[in-house]
Amino acid sequence: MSGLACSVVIPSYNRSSTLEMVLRGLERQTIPGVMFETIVVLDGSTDDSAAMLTGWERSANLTNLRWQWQPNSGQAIARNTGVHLAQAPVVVFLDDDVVPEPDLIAAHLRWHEQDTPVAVLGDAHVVREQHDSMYHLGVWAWWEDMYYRRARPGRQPGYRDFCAGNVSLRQEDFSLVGGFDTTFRGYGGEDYELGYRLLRAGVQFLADRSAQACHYHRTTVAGVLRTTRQEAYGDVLLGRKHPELRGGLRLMRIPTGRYGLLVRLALRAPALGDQLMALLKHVLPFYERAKMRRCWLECFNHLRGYAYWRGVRDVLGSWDALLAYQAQAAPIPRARLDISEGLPAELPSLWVDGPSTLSVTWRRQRLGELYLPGPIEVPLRSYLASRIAEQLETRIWIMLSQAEYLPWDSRWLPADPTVPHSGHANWHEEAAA
Amino acid sequence: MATCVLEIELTHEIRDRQGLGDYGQALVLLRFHGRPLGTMRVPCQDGMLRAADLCTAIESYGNLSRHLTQAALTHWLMQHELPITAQLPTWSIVICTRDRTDDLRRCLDSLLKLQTPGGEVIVVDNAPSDSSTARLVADYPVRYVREDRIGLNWARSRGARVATGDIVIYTDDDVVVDVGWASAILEPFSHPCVAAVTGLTMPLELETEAQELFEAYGGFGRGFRRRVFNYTMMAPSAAGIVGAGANMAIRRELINDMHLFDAELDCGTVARTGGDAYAFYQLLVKGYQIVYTPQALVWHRHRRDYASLRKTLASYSVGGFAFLTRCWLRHGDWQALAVAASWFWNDHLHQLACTLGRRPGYLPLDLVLAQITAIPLGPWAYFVGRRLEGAASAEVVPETVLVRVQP
Repeated sequence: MSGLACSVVIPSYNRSSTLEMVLRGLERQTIPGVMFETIVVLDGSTDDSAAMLTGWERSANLTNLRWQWQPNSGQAIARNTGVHLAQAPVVVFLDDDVVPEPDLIAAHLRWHEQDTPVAVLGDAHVVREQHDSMYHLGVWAWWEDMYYRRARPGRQPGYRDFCAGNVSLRQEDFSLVGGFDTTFRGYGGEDYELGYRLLRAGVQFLADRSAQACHYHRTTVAGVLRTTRQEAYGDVLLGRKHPELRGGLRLMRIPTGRYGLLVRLALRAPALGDQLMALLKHVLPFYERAKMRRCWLECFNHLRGYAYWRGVRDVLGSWDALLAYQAQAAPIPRARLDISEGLPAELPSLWVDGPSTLSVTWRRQRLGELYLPGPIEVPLRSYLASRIAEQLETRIWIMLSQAEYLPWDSRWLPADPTVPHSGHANWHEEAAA
Repeated sequence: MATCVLEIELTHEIRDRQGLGDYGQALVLLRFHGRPLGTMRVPCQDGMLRAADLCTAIESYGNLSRHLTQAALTHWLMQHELPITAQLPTWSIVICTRDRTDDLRRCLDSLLKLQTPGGEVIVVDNAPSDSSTARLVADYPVRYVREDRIGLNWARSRGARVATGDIVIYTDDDVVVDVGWASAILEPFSHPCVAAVTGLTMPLELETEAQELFEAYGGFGRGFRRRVFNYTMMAPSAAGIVGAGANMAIRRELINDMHLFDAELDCGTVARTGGDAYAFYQLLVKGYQIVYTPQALVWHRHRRDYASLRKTLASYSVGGFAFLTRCWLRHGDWQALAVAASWFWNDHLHQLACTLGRRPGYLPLDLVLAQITAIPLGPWAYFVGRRLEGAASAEVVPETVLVRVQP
């Protein structure tokens, strides 16, 4: 209808203080306030959010602010409600603890000018504080690494790149794929699932590092264990809805060693497991205070791993149900790659979200197979080159000498390629020692 | 007998090397398309290093030949690749020096050959006894800054404060840098979690026994594979393994905001060394990554005389244990005690056992004892340093800055 360029949709649950910071961030945008509208959906908030928003509406600092309260029903439904109220052609999703930088909306809108189906993925940098806890440092590093990889040139997008904390897309594409799936009631999973449907519908993902926001991540360890348990629920639903994605899910592979025991504990004796984990949780602060960082990490990973598998049990119910779920996985996708002329200019499209196998050939002769665990490293080409060189070294040597085709300086070839380098034997001995 | 230090590019034809004088052997750094792959020692005869000897040596060095075949294959696989021209951050090279104009001249000459745009070179003259450094520097396109408070860490902090580049690259006056050094050390900073990068430091010459012994003791070499360090894989108080101050780069913001270079440590203080390790420690405990990349290569001239070597090794003990005491007492890091114990056990006692048992490659007894007897000085240096710092902060030293910028 009007001259609105975009609608900012913010679902919120009991976080009035950070929500107010988000609104202040929107107030400071470089594009004029009349060009966008802000829609806040309070998803069953019981704190003073409503009063705060009323005050903001009255003071009219932020043009076009609207909000709605609804009974608590999860982020998926809250975001759908927000889009339903939105009037602009482009929707920007922000979380209630993601404070936009002044250039954020302008950066998002730049990509939507040529009206092609794109989703713009922005960064939400976790804010560091003076005395960060171990947990916070880990979260910061994880997200920074993720944003960095996501935006590297030549990277194939995966559905897990789509995080609803700071993302924009055309309302048309959103409605076309049917919006967020409302069966996702807990925390997490719903944005990945939408991302998958968008990718399948041909929407291009663009990671723009200039669309920046600050993420005021205030979760505690107990909080993250709760959300991890819900993430497992999201994973199970995702695999049920899109069986082809199952291969890449964490619950498809039961780890070995101590973590394997943890899985059995969570699925077979949850009562005992819960007790043990409650005890283990009390050890964490001790490790943190003594600066025993690796012990802390080990302990935290156990707790988190348990929480995940406990979540799997919440949905699937039993060990046998898990095995049945795993048995229905699609086979690992395969791709072929011919390297007789070096790495070809066009690489086969690989599955970035889960494991795949790459069968490497030399003029139709099979050289060997590479197992690529997802998500794939970038830059992909140099990753593949070094993996191939490492794993198929001797076979390529044989091919090259049989073909009498020595494309590079042959001085360092072993005289008889079927006999491994004298060096190799040494090397293996060293490795064994 | 002395060893000559050579580098050989494997993509070029390998010829006999003549005119090596009376060197008994050569330490050869092998490079493949400029990338350092490894070193090996090859005997020389009659002032000549034969190509045949060299090739045999390459074949017989197990780890190295495998490294080489893989490098050759990777290179071949990527032959059609367009070189990725990554956007490098802006940089400032900071050289802290004190009355060593001969070394500094060689260092500045090598810096002139760097091919990385977007940076500047700053020479920080630390409490000089005369104006010789200032006069030397006037002939080079570099900035000159004087820091009158004695101490390498004062000079490093000053360098970072006057630097304009986003990354501060530190090196010493007694090194010669490789042409691609600056680009290689800047490249890992594209990752936001990387706060510091260290590089490979090779000996510039091995003329004397002292230099050979320093190299045998471990030198500055950290291997030929890229490594990433963070607190999830190592104790931050073991930061000494990450690299050394002669070849490191750190984000400028972090140096200035976190006051990384503590005035109580390193040259010019009672602790004598440890300033670089403490800077790495502070970065690691804040969750940052430190990358070691062998592509960033410098050549360091080790101390020639035996007395300086003994002093250097002893000062590593003093500085190292002062640093560990500091981690323990000031940061409440109990892991530092375990690191101290394992250092003493695996390094000092192990060396002592080797020396007493005359195992191959053992160090002379006086060097080992110099290190061990210096250990108690570490905690002592920490406490003295604290007292001195209290006194120094009371009297404020006026800062004299002499900046000359030449295009």
